[in-house]
Amino acid sequence: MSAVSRSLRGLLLVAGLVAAEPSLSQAADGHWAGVAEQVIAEVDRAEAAMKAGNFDAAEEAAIASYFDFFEGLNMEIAERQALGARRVSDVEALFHDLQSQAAKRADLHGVAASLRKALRADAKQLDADKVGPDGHLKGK
Amino acid sequence: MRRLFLALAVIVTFGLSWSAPSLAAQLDVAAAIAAVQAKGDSLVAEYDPAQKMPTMRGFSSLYFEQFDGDLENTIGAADSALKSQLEAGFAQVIGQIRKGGTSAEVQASWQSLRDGLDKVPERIGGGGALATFIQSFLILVREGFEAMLVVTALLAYLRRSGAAEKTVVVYQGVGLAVLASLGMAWGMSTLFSMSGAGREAMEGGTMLLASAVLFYCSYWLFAKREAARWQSYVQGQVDQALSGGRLYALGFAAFLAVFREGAETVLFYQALAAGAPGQMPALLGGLALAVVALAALYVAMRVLSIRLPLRLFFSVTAALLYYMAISFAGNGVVEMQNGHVLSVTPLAGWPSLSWLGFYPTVEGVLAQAILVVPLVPWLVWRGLVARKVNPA
Repeated sequence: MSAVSRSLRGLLLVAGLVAAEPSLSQAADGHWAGVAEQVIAEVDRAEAAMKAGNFDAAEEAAIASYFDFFEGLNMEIAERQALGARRVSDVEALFHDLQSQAAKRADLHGVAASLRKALRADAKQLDADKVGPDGHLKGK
Repeated sequence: MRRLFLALAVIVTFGLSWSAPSLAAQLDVAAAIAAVQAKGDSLVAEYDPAQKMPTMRGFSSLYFEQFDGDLENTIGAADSALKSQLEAGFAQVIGQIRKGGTSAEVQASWQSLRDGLDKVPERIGGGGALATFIQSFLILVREGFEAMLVVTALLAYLRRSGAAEKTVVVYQGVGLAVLASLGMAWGMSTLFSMSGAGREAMEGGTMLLASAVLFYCSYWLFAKREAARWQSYVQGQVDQALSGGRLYALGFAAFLAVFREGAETVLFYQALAAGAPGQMPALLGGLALAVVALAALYVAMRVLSIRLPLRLFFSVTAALLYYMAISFAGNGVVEMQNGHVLSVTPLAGWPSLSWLGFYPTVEGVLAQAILVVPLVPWLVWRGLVARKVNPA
């Protein structure tokens, strides 16, 4: 391989890394907004299933929204670290309401709306605080 | 004067706290964990993969209604890694049920979570039953022995001063002090049990107060560790009373000596009980053994005329009190955090040392640092003073 060809390949590699960097940091910046939308999608599934009269599916999605998504994707630990135990208790109370309402086959609209609002606001704060995907504040 | 101030400070603090919430109504962690385990056992026993919803609902309710909240916060403040492990355990059990896992799979996930729950009382119980037993034993031995030293010294000096007939005043003072201490213990347990809200904050306040008093006592004992200083202190008390012809003052000195120890003892036992939930048998066992040890010490000193090395005794007990001050400060902060009075700022990667009351949060470390950091300059200063007094 000639020196010119090696130089070109090196330049291409550097250019590729430079181009990739902004997209990587953009993804990291919006991490918690993305997680919140995943949790909200499950909450929406619970609400839709309840409206459709599919009660078991509604309850299952309500439970999964907390355990599989809010906790499973580290948003609970992130909130605890960055926003404090009191805020986590408030959000967890909303999840508990969602599950209780689903078990009673009651309308989920009110509690689901509160959850969506809380999750989006908290995600915005977590992204602003640059909380890592493992739920810990950077540098701690 | 110092003793009077200390006794009054303790009484006033208790007086101000009477409207505050209950120590007796504290969260019984061991009982709460047992209840979670019993409910989980029953849910798993009834699990049917074809009818998964009742079990899934049951575990979700178990989490939100019995684990989440006070219990979870208590565990989290003491050991955040264990709290995360238990949360993940609940998620795993619920996940197994959700995907319709076999009974054996659900049982295995639950058993893993159950084993994690078994660790909780030990992790937050201030170092376990043995540590509680030892601390309980040492509190009464130390407090009781100090009171005994003062009273026996007062009696001895009275006899040597040819005023043996006046010893009855000392005994009266001791009797009243014991009654007052018992009355205060009863008052605290009854009056405090009337309220429930904010009990963690109250427990935390009691522990931090105990920590401050222990810290003061450890310094006071260390300063008086020379036998000569100790004897001159007691002789001063007797001379003052005899020369003034005020017998009541002598009785009052005996009262204060015993009541100060009694007040401290009540305070320390309350703090120990709050920091070691579910370990009352170990606490009572230590207390009972201490009574026996004190009686044996009294016999050894009075009947067998054994003289204890006071310098060693005061140095060792000062170190012990210093250790307990640090431990109570750490546990006090945990209680304040549970009561939402203090924030929780975890220190990732730091270990938990329950025997030292050390839990990895900024608030806890700061509280303990206030007690530990001055030690080094103080030791250096004492070293310099000693070199000045006794140059090589």
